[in-house]
Amino acid sequence: MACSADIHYAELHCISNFTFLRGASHPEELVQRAHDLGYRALAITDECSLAGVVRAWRVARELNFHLIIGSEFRFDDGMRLLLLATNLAGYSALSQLITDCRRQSEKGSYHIERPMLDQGLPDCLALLAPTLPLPGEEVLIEQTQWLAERFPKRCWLLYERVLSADDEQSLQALSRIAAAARLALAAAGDVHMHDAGRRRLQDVLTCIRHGCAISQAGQRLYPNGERHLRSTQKLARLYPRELLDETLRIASLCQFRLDQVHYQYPDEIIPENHTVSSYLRQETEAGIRRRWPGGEPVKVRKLVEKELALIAELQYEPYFLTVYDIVKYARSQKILCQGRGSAANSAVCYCLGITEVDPARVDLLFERFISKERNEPPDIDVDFEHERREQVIQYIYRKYGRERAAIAAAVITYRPRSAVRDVGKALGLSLDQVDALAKSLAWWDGRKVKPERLRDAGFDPDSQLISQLMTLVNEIIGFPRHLSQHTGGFIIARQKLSALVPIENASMADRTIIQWDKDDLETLGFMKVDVLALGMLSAIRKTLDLIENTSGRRLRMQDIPPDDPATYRMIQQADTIGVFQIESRAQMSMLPRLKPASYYDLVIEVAIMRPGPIQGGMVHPYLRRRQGKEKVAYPSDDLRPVLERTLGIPIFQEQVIKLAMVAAGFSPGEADQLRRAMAAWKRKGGMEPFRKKLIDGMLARSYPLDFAEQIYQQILGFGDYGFPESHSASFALLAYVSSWLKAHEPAAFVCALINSQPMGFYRPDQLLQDARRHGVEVRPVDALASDWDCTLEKTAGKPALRMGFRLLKGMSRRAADMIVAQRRERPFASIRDLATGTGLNRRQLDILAASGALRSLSEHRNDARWQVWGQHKTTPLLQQAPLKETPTRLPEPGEGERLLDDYALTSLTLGRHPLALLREKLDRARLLPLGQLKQLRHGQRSRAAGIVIGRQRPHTAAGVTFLTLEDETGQANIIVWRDLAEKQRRILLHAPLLVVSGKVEKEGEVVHFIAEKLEDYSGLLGKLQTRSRDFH
Amino acid sequence: MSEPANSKGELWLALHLPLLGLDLLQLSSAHAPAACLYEGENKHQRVWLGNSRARRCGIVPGMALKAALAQCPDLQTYPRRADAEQSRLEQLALICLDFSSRISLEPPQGLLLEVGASARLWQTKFLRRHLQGLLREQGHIVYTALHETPTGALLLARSRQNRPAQIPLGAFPVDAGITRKLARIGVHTLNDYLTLPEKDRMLRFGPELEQMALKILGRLPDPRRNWRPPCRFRRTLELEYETASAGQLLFYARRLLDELDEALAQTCSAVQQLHWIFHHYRRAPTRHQQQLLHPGRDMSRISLLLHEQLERLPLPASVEKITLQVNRFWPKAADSLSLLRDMGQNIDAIEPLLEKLQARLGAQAVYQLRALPDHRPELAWARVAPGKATPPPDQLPPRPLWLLPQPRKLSSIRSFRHWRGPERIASGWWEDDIRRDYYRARHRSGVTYWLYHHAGEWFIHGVFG
Amino acid sequence: MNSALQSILKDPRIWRADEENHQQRSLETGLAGLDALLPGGGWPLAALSEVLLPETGSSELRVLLPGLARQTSGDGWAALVSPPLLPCATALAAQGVNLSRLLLVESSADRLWAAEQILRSGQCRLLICWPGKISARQKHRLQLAAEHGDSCCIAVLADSRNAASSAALKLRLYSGADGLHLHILKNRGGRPGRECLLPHV
Repeated sequence: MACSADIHYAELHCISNFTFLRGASHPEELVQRAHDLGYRALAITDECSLAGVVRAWRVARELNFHLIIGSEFRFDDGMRLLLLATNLAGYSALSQLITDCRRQSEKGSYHIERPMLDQGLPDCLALLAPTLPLPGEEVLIEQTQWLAERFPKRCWLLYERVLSADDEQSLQALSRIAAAARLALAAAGDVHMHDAGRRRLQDVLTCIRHGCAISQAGQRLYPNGERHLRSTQKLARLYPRELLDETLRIASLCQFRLDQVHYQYPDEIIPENHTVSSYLRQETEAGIRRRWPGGEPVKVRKLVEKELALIAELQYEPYFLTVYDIVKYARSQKILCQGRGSAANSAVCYCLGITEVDPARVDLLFERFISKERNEPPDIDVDFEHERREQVIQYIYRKYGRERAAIAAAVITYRPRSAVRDVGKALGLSLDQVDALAKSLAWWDGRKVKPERLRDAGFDPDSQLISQLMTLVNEIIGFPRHLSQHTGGFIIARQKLSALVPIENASMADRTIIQWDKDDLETLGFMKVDVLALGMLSAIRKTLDLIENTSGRRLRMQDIPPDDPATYRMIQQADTIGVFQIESRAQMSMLPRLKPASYYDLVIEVAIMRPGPIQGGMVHPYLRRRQGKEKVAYPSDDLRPVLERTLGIPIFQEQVIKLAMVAAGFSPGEADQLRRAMAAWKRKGGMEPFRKKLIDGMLARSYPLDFAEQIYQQILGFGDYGFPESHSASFALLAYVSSWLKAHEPAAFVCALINSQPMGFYRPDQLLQDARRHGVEVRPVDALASDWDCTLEKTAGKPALRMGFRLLKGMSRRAADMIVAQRRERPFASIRDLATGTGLNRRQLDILAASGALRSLSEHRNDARWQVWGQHKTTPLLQQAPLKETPTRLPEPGEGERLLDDYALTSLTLGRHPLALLREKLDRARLLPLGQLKQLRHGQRSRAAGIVIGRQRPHTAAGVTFLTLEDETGQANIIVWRDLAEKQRRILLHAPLLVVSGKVEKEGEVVHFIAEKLEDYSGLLGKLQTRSRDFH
Repeated sequence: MSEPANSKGELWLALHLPLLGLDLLQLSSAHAPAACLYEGENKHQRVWLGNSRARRCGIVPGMALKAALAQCPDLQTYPRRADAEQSRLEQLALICLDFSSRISLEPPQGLLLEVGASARLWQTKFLRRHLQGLLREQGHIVYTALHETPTGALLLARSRQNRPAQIPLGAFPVDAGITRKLARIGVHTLNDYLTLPEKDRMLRFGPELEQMALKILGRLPDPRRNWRPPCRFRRTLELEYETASAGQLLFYARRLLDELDEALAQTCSAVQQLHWIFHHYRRAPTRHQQQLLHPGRDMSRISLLLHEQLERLPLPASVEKITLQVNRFWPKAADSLSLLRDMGQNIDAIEPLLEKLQARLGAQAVYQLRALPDHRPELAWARVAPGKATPPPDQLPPRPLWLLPQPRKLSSIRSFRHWRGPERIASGWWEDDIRRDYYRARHRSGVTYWLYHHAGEWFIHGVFG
Repeated sequence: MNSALQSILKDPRIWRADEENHQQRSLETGLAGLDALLPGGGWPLAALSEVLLPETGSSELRVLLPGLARQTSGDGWAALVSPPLLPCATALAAQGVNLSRLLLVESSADRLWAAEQILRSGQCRLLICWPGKISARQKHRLQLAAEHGDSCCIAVLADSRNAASSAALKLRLYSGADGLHLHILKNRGGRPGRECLLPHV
């Protein structure tokens, strides 16, 4: 046996889990393992994909390990070929080949045929890796000859010894063939896993891929677990020495490194006679004159000059100008948009109109704008009206072409539910069992599958099957399943994008995505513009349009008066249903305590109810200081400038990073690493080193251990959902604008909100209820008056809202448009008239009748139905002579029946609340109306009933569920602690009508009802259906 | 509403068994745990019927089984067996034959008896009570009703009403959409319905409901198909003298077979299972069952087989009577044989041979092999009944010609030469896990064996020959 | 020759002591070397053949398998009666045996009865049985049954000296360093004493 010391090996055939449902290890794991085993190099050769290479590269770069980039291809005739890039040109050709194979196939698949390689790939090596059992010798001879002609002196034949039957014969046959074609034979391992321990998972992936249970999988599985990275000693036993040596020769030819891929900004954004700098300067100056017609403040001028200098130094002008160009396009189309992110809140962006956050109003912010130390592209996200974002996207495609613009990938990974479903099926559980199991993971479960849940679903967590399932599920969680499109991250390049990264089809028609996600892009310094969709922008634009239509007044976002006392009063009372960001339950419980009175208060409000500050335990200290119950103090004088704006309490992600620098001695580079690690630790872990450094650093500078620990927890919290001040600043502005509109133009605001659905936190019926409570007159759907959208009708006083057909469940847009069009020609005289005129089908007519929308044409709904059902499609001739109908007297529907119809069709009744109809029964059961809960004393016990209109369990709130109940007297917030929620899970999750027994807790004006027992009273509701919005 | 005029003087008694399917499982009592029957496959499973406890949990027919299980996790669920329900209805009809010769099966849950004649003999009240009692003894919940028309009687029993006018429309076996629609304009009973203008209601709600209403009113004929008891065969032959001789018994048995052949010819049927009972004097009879591979009517083959079997059948004493009983007649065309013929398999020629071999050696001893696509050698094959076409798997790894029934441990491998391998087979972690390195090696005797190494020990598993 | 006579002569039960090239009807063994040595070019039909080897359950299938594959490839059946070990389905299938045309019968007490029934039925043209200890009378019954069903019956027997029988063909197998030797001991209608070799795989 050879001595291990002089065995050297490079693995040239290795797929990662980015060859979906085949590879059973992450690229990072593979590189790490290959390095640990002392391999000289590792090629990642995912099947027609480069999706995993950046991840592998990140580790390889750190370990200074030779990573080879390649890809595996399977031809229709069974030929399996590996192509490895030797240099940048080879890499580009490979990327282009993958793009070609993928673009001509459906999403997720590819197709390659031999003519595509007729020119060879001059800077790639080709390795023929015959699948086992070996095809016939003639077949292999033909393949090697074909290959040798296209890749002269650049091709090899691989012998992959994975301990299958007849390995020796295979070797002999391959040696013969190689000799005949004058190629060298090299060793390879057909690696699917970094470690043999992943064998079971690999089998399960195979089953998922084939859609079969493992007991049925048979030979679709590999016969053994040899397809892993094996020790060099073992390889020395399995392969002739010269085959191992050949791998090193091949590896030495592959000198390509991923950091040779250079991204360049597009350059056509500037007009002639301009440089990027002069053009940016010109547009910024124009903006300054527009923003400050009377001359800009000195502060602003200084800021602009500083920013421009920095931008020029880092050569970021094209980036700002690209974003500017997109925003300018949106503006020309009257599409509302708003930038956010560190660079977006710069003075330059304000001048360019990318943001409305005025640098003169808030002195912005920490130095996250862009920094010289970090070689990191600036970050600007732009939100557009959600219904019109597609227009912007198509503009980008038009302007730069599909060759140069594509959307970043989002890697869809296994989550507990999908993991349980797929693994369960693979292990042979029945569909019912799998569903029961998957369902038992309600939306609030953490990342791991808990044994209690399994018991609930009727499984024995100690059985072998279940313990295997649990292990596999935990292993597969986080595995990539497929590539999807990022919400809006666009990559735009100066040259052909497919030469930098493969492009493939997305599931949406006319969409193409690249194979890398945003982390990958950041690693390689690619520029990304986030073109995002935001419903609230649509709603705001529609509100402004409605105001113009009813009052003739044209408001723009920047015209809305800042610091309006009425608006802040409303916000302080948590009267914020429908407004942006501060409408959630948790936010609403915070508002009366925090009492925002200025724009910056809103910035804090938006950021504070998030995992970071909550896990760091910063919310209550901040509130106490805000309420004056506690003195504002600073952990040290050094930290005063960092924490001054937030009363000495760190709230924002930027503050925590800065704090790590000031209080724990992190260098700017380290701080930046911390920021990146923070975003990724949930997926990848790796925070431990920072914890030690942070805590040691802070202790060394005499900060208390408690404080250090708190900061660390907060950092972990940011990992869940990092929320920097720069984003808060933009969101707070929209929160303020929407609040102002709600306060001053409630009818237009609610109308626009409903017409922008689906969006936001509340359902249309809840929004309408709220509007009615604010005195907006709501008029029912009426075939003679309604449009598809809700409309405002002029009255003597404030405008009234007319419900639109869109609120009727099952009503089609086409039918509604038909009614409106016909009505415009000639008003309907009868139901018959309407039916024949519009040609609506029976179902649509039925909906109109049931909803009372035919009220003006009939006695009551029963009558309307009777008439509608009597309508038949008639020929024009018959139309003249209507069939004689015997007049029929039908019973008028009762209030309960009307209500059921209303709820069935609109989830809303303009009549009495359903619980009003049940009130007598509820009184007899001694249930308190919700409106009276507020009058109870702190600590008093009571029992009340209500329809569940919201369930919320924020990840951060330590297992607390917030329930919102509603009855005819109002709404109440119910808090359900974890113990009770676990005990009464089923009722909590499913009952639409709940009776809650519990205790009142008051803190100032904030009233909470703490549940002690839940009862399901849904039986009382009969057929009345309600739904609640459950949020994650 | 006027009572129907009935010129024929018929009177129909309806028996409605609301929980028939659950009766069969003894799950219909009020104390039974929540249970339901379901229909449909996989994702389309829907509740067909629930017992009273299930109803209390809100389980209603038509709801998705998954939803039902979500609502009531303890719910016991069983597939509905329409065939079992049908045969129970037939059994009950047999009982009812004592009271009426005109019986109509009304699946899924009812029976109709024309009792005009017997009602004159029995008082109607007594007749109803008597029948109710009989059915309850059989473990059924039953509702009864009398009406001049079959439809009227059935619907009264189903809705447990006394007067047709009160029958809720929901009880009518029509598309539920129609009755739901009617309910939505406040029309709930037959009476409500009949007050609507006749022409207009037809236009809106179609003929289905209308016709039933008219049948109840006696304005439309309402014919029912008479039920006839089904075919079976049971004959007993008294022997002229007692005998235990196989030859003589066969002689008599052939007479019974001739009768059976005639019965089969009449109904165009075939048999698969024959029960022979040889009665002895003062001793328990000897029973013998003949099972054919496929339903058939070839009496000479059956008698040949019987011959073979009779010779080996131990009889404790001589026989005085022989009974031949066949419980099920098969339709002649629908045998699986024709299927095989379609597949181009000339199976029937070898079938008598297979039957003969199986009759003597037992079914297990006559088989064919099937190769299965499993890596584990023990699971890569199976015994299957002969005559089945079984395609081999795509991949057939090199294997020895002989396998040992059990791998045999070797104390030494010294006498083996010319080793080749290993082929590593490590699979089956989810059930029968194996991890073996297989080698092929030649023994001193010149025979090549298949050996494997596992946990430090050597086993011999096969012979290449 | 008139046709009546022709048909009589075709009857396999009429044995004619002609010379070697006489048209003995047979089933190809699938081994070219062996077929060449046999008078009919294969396993004789309507006759009993004996294959003798030191120990049953070793190399006999190598010799018999090609014939089985040929026999089962079309519509015909073949049968194995009481084989000493499990024939490996994978290997059989890999050698081209159509498993859905191969009948297996397991029995120790009734194996000769079973073999006779199968032969007499005429349904299986090729039957291979491992009868264990077998008397000359029993061999004769097998021979008659094979004649009756016009089938080919091969009995695999452990080699012993006192091998008196009515078999039409007797073959001894033994392993040598170079491979498996097939030695023809008795060859009705042909010359005995010839040998062919199946090299080791």
